[in-house]
Amino acid sequence: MTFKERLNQGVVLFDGAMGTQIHELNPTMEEWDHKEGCSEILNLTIPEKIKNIHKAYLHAGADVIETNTFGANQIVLDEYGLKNKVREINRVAAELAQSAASEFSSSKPRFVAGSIGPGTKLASLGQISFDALHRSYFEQAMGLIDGKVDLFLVETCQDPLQIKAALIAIMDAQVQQQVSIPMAVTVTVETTGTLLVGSELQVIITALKPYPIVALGINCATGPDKMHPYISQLCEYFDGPVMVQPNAGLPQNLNGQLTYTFDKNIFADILASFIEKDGVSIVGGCCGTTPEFINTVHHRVAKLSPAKRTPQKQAAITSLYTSVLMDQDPAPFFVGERTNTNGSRAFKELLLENQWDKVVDIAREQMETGAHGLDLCVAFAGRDEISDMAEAATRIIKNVNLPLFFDSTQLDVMEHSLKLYGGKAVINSINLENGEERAHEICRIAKRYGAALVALTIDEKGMALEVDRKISIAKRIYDIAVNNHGIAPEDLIFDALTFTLGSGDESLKTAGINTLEGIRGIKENIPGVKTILGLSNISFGLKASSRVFLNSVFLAEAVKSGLDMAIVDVKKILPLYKLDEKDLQFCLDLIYNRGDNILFDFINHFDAKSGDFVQEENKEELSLEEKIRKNIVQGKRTGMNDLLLEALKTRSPLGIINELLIPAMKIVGELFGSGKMQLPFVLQSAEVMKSSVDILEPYMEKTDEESQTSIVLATVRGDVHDIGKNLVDIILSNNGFKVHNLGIKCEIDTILDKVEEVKAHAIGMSGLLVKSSVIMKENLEEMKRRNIEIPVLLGGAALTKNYVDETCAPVLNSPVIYCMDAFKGLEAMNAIKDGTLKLAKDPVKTKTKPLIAPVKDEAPIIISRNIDIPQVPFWGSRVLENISLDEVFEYITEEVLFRGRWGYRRGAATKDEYDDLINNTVRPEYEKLKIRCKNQGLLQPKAVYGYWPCNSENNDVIIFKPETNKEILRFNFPRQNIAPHLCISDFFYPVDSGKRDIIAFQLATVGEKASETSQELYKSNVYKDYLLFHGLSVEAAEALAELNHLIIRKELNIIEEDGKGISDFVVQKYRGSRYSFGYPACPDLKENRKIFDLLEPERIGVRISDEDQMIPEQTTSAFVVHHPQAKYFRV
Amino acid sequence: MEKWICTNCGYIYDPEIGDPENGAPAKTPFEDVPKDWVCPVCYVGKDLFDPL
Ligand SMILES: [Zn+2]
Repeated sequence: MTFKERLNQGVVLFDGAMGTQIHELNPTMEEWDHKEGCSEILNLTIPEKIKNIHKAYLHAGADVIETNTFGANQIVLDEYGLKNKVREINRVAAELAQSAASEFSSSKPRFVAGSIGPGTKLASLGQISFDALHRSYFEQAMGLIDGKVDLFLVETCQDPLQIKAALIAIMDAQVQQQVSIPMAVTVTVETTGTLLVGSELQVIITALKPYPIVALGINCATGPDKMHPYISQLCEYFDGPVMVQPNAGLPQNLNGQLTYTFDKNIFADILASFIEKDGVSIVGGCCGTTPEFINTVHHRVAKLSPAKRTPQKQAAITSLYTSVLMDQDPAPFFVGERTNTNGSRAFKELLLENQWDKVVDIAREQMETGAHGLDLCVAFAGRDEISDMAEAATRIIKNVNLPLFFDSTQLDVMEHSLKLYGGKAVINSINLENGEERAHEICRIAKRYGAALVALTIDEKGMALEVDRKISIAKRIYDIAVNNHGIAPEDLIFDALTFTLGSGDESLKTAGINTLEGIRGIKENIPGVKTILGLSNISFGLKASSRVFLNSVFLAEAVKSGLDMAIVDVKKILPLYKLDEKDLQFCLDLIYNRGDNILFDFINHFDAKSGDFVQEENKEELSLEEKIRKNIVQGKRTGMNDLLLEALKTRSPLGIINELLIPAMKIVGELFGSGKMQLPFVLQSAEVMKSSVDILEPYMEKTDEESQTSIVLATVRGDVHDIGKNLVDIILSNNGFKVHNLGIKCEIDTILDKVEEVKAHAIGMSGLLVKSSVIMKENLEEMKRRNIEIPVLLGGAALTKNYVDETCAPVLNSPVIYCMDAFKGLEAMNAIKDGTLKLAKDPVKTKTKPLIAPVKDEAPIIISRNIDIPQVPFWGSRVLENISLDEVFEYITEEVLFRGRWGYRRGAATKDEYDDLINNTVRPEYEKLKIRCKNQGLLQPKAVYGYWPCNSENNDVIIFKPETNKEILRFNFPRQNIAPHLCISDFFYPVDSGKRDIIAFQLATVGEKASETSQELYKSNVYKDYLLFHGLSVEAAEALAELNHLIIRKELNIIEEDGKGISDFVVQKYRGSRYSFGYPACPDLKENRKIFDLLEPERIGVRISDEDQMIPEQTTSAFVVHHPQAKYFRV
Repeated sequence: MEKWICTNCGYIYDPEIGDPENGAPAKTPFEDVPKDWVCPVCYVGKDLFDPL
């Protein structure tokens, strides 16, 4: 039986640690042959003892044993002077293992895996070359083949480039010896969530897909308890058997000895759940595991069958660190074109001057403008392309997190580039211009290094202009690449070629149509392949100002025809909503060759367009005042310094502020009010306003602050939320008002003392919590008592206009204004300044309907007592670390982030306009910010959660200590005083029911760093970044809570009612409910302290303030109720 | 009739379904939902809804 056949028959058990067992042997100096630490030499010096270790594992039930050759490659053995013994040691080790296996093969088939470890040097960090690694592994593989291993295990990998070198070396050795032996790979995911060199697991999955490996898994680093996120990722995305070999937990230092203390039964249980729940099919142990462990696992898993899996198929390429989908949503995948000697003069000059750091800057800029990948071309006559490519690529690979397209016509350049690249790159390009033999060569390189290919529709006769030729050439290339070389169809990216529409050449008039039809034809006729376009060719020869328009429109048309990727300068792509009807029409007419003189008309139209907002240099015609105003409205800081200094020649600083800047901000406010401008853009304008005032400040005489209309601003007692209040501060202070921002958690006395001290004209109170709206009313009563009756502005998420008008306003004799947003606050302040703010005399009394319509009185809700109590996986709490930020991001409600936190509301815009905004502005911002959060560790997801026995008693829920069944504490919940008179305790079995119910608690945070970063951004006056980052951080905490809740439902096995994803979860499409204190069903924040007592979240850096709120702000706590009838309600 | 989304929690008001328990029978366009109606999931007011 071959190993592959065995794999098809069910769970396969590997052995445990070799190193740990050798340590137990405690070999003498003679046995070490004076090479202490070189475990591989023991194969020669004490073969029987090594064989005994193998036998112990076989006896324990292992199906597969690994040879004692972890470090038996040239590079490692060379350190012991054993370079010439590599092949011998590997042969002997394999023979030893085989002879042990044959003694046990009567009961069941046994196999020997040739262990190939990572060595001591990291290729991706430049510590060793690909070729040196390849040589080193080749020798080892030759020896293992000599000794007749049944499979290769390339294990404990830390670097994708090292894995590729090993796999390629093994394949080369197999070709030489004319054998075919399966290969498996395990990688080690560090506690940081990536491999040692920083690659995410998804990079490994994508980059190894082109290689014929029989299994992919993870090993080492941690115990099985920390591995689940990676296991489930592998099971979801890797299209083949998944294996796992955990350590026996994390090593503990006991009396100076590293000891592994993980319980073998729990170890076996977790592996069993990987098999049954996730679909893992190969298990075993790594450091610290022993024959006893393997025997326990053997008994636990022998009869199990792996859960059925349906791995997702994804076409992707990768950088060293991240995998990127080729199908971007929205399409296309942007390939930045600036790092190209043929496309960018600036780049070419930097190259000629060997300014490699600046080359990296150009690459980085493209990432920042939204590119998903980078085309890299360094070809320049007279220079050494191989060495230039190496200089540029090594730096870009390490510093810029984008997949690379190696753009060269030279085979040796292609091959050398790929030897530097751990991820999955793209070769640009292959064609048939020089016949099929050369195409075969390129396919061999692509296949060997696992790269995708850009394929141009060029054949021996030249570039294909006609649609039919484009398609037939594509088919020929497909035949060579896919049918001959086994390259995956999605790794072929066809370029149907673009020709300029700007030459007036008669034969090219329909070139645009042909390209679009070519793209469509290729996608229709050749299933599975991708398409790409060198976009800017379409407008070659035309004026720069019109090229932007034509390129953008042609791109949109190409995407409609099925284009997947485009090579572009991303910052020169306009969203179509920025084009007026006429621009669009002329571009479309030119593309579709409509009208006799269309090129002429096109050129005339765009020549006549002045003040083009893409081309800054055309701004000369605007007056100085208009330029200043325009910069504020458009949020542009560039050039503002010079403009203001110029303006100072004719105006006073205060004049500039009052006559130019503030009116410009007024326009911004109006645009915002009418829904034409979104909040982040408003903040960008405010930033420019702020920096403009800072520029003017030195020229101003000391301002008479008393004459300024002023406001004291604060978040009310017990509330720590400051984003809303700070936005008001930004808008008011940048519109000429004096703002005294007192911060958060302000007692009314503090506020009123300040009001008296500065003789403020108004008070602004903010708060997000439900209870803050009550406190606002109490504060107004205190004002009344202290006889301070000045206008009050109220804002915050929990407020409504009705509440303010009907409950708050009547308290005072001065106006109390509900401010839905910062501009309503500005409006009110302007009215105060002008003396026109009116007291709403008789607030219209509308009868408020009860928020929950009373269910018909005769039919109260019956809470079922016939609910199975789920089994908990453990009692008490556990810390959840190593959560991947990407996984957290999956549970972000983007609609809430974009529209709610960030304020990108659709409002009065059309759906198409809004979609354009989201796709062209918001999403790129979002993606960039996510990458920044990941790279700089700004968000650090951590959670602690757990399960406790509980029962209800009237309105209380009693929590018991799992071990003793004694009451630890009890929560007291309020009951609705209207029908149906619900209380959260109703959802639990009563204490006298005789059944112990269960409850889960969770507390999730994205960390202290998020709070600090928010504050830093606010203090540095980068208002837009502040808003965006703060919004994302808060939503990430919510997302993490949602993820943690899902984990709890999975562990409780109550996912039968689960909806499809986050959009369903937000409306509680799942069994039971997750409640947080401070919200309508359980408003009492004080109860939060009890959650702290249970979960001890200090372990993950979360504290509770005197006001019972959690610090950092980006934290959520909750309890999870499993009762299916438990949903949100309001008391 | 257009759907509206709660920008605070992601709940979507679908006029075909309405929110009958809270004063908005099926087929009520969002504009005609009572002024004091609140999001049935997170209880924020109508102001915080945005057309989808
Ligand atoms: Zn809501």
